[in-house]
Amino acid sequence: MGVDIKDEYNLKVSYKVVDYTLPKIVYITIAPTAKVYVKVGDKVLKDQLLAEIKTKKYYSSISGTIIGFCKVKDHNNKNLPAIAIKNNFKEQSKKIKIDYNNVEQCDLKLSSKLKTLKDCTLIVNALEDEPYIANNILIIRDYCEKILKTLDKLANDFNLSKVVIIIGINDKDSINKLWNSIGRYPNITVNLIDSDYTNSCEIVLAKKVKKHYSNFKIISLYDVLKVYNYFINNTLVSQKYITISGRGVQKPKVINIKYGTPLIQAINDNIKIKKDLEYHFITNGLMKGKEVDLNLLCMNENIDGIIIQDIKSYLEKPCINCGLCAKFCPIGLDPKYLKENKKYSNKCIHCNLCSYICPSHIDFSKYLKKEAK
Amino acid sequence: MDHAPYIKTDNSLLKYLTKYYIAILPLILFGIYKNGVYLYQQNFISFGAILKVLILPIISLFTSIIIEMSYQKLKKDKINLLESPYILYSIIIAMMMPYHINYLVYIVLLFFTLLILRMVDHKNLISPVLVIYLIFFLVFSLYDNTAFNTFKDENLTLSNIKIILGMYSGGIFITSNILCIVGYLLLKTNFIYKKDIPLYILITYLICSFIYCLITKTNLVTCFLNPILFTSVFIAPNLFYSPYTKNGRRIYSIIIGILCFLLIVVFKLSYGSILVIAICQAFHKTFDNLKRTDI
Repeated sequence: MGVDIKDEYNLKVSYKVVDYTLPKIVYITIAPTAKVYVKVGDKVLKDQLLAEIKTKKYYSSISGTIIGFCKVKDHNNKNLPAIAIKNNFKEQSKKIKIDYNNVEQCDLKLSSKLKTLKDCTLIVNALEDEPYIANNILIIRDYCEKILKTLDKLANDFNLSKVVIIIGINDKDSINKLWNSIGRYPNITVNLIDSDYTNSCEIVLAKKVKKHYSNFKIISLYDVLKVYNYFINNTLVSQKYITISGRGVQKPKVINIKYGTPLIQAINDNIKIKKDLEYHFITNGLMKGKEVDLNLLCMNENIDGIIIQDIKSYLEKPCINCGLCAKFCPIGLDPKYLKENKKYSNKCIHCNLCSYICPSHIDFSKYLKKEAK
Repeated sequence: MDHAPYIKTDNSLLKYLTKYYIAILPLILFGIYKNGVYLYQQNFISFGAILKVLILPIISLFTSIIIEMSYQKLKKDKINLLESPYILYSIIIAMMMPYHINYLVYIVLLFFTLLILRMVDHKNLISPVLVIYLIFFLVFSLYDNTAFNTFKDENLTLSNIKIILGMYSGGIFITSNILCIVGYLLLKTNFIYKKDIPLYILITYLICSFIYCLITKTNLVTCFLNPILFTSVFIAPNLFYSPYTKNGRRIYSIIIGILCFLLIVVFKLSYGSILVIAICQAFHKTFDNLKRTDI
């Protein structure tokens, strides 16, 4: 059972996406153990390999000159090394040719997903992961034709029995946009489900989809965009839509932003922050996100949004035995039992719905972490 | 708070209790009509005695406020009466009392009841309903339990409509089955209320009673001439003393439904539902651990 987390602050985003793809300097975060292939003073092209570890490769999102190495913060507030590149604003890109056989060289995660696609139903998860984040609505609006074209290509290449785009029942703009264009793609259908929080989680969605399809694979809308870029556009993904929202923002917006862009710059240039309270910066939403130091945060593919919000403190009261935590757990766990018996379940998806729904404001997320046991 | 979630639901115990008070308000108003206005119209009581029925709830309210305030002050807690379920318990006790109970006896009983309840403070197996039942036992032994109100059932012709409306003797404020249903519909709009418990109890009770009435050829409506609806809606889903797991709630409700049928319909113990709920609430944790599959 999901929960419709009310849009209590009326944080509707503006329908105009702000383009912020020409930063002066980008900071490409890399793993501390990454093998770096460039040095200060080197000229680099967009999509050029900068560093790599066994499981991931790091590419330049702009063309320009390497000006140094520094430390920045990632979306989890962890310090990570970064390569600073000064933009020459020429967008000279390295010519690359990606096909299904060599995609693992630039994107291991996507490659492993594509490998399992043969002869199944492809489910495209276009549901928003968090309340107050609205990237997918605008992605569908701006890239609808490209998304459908990519899905059609995947359907033909992998002999997919069907492609189903799952969107929220309240997402009227996406429904209209897709239904106006879908007629030319007989393989593709749109299914609507409740926009409740946690429905977008892959395990929860799989449970719901299981009732209708037997052999299926789920990919995200962002994965579809990656496929478009790799196999149709022959480029790497170097920019992403992120939502800047929250009580501290006068007008919430979605910004199209280059990887590596310092987010403080993007926010200062595009967003008006209210001055009435002390506002904090939270990455990726209020339910699962983390408070970060914006001064050192640079854009990367794991960031979906920044919520600028005053943080309320909630007084934890004794449990009233209402059972809402167990009733609303999307995977059927009993957080009260786990907490009281100091047990840990590896099934927990850390959606924090139990902590949200508890009328006594018990912070289950604190107790359900493995480290707490 | 330095970690997610950074927002929380606005649902709270206070909101739930407020809804609970609103849900019992129509029953209290009906009690005033049944035991006040109606009796005055029938020339049973004088005009001045119409509001006499309110004396018990008022005594309950003040006694519980005094106890709650003293207890919170003693514990050096911030005084918060609005979120105290003990005030609600005391009003429910008043609602189930006979009309002509001696006020001094009532105050003494209530005082000790609330004191015990407050001391165990939901950490013990002693359910408030069990304590209420013990009070009942004492009160019943002191009074003639057929004369719950000023008028007796034999003075009235009990039609099916009158039973459904609640125009029969019983606890001062608990006889209206229609208003219990209205209260249920209101309470079920709150997330916290365990709405499936009354539903399962009543369905089980109704099925058993229906079969029994078919066999014995008796009137099914008479099976509701007791506080089964009131106890199912307002007492059985007690937050602190009822199971919280889905399976636990179901088993608990079905057992209550069956036992209520046996005590009320078969053994003619009209207040049997209170005893059954009291016993089942003492084992609410056991019900939660039965068929636990959701770890």
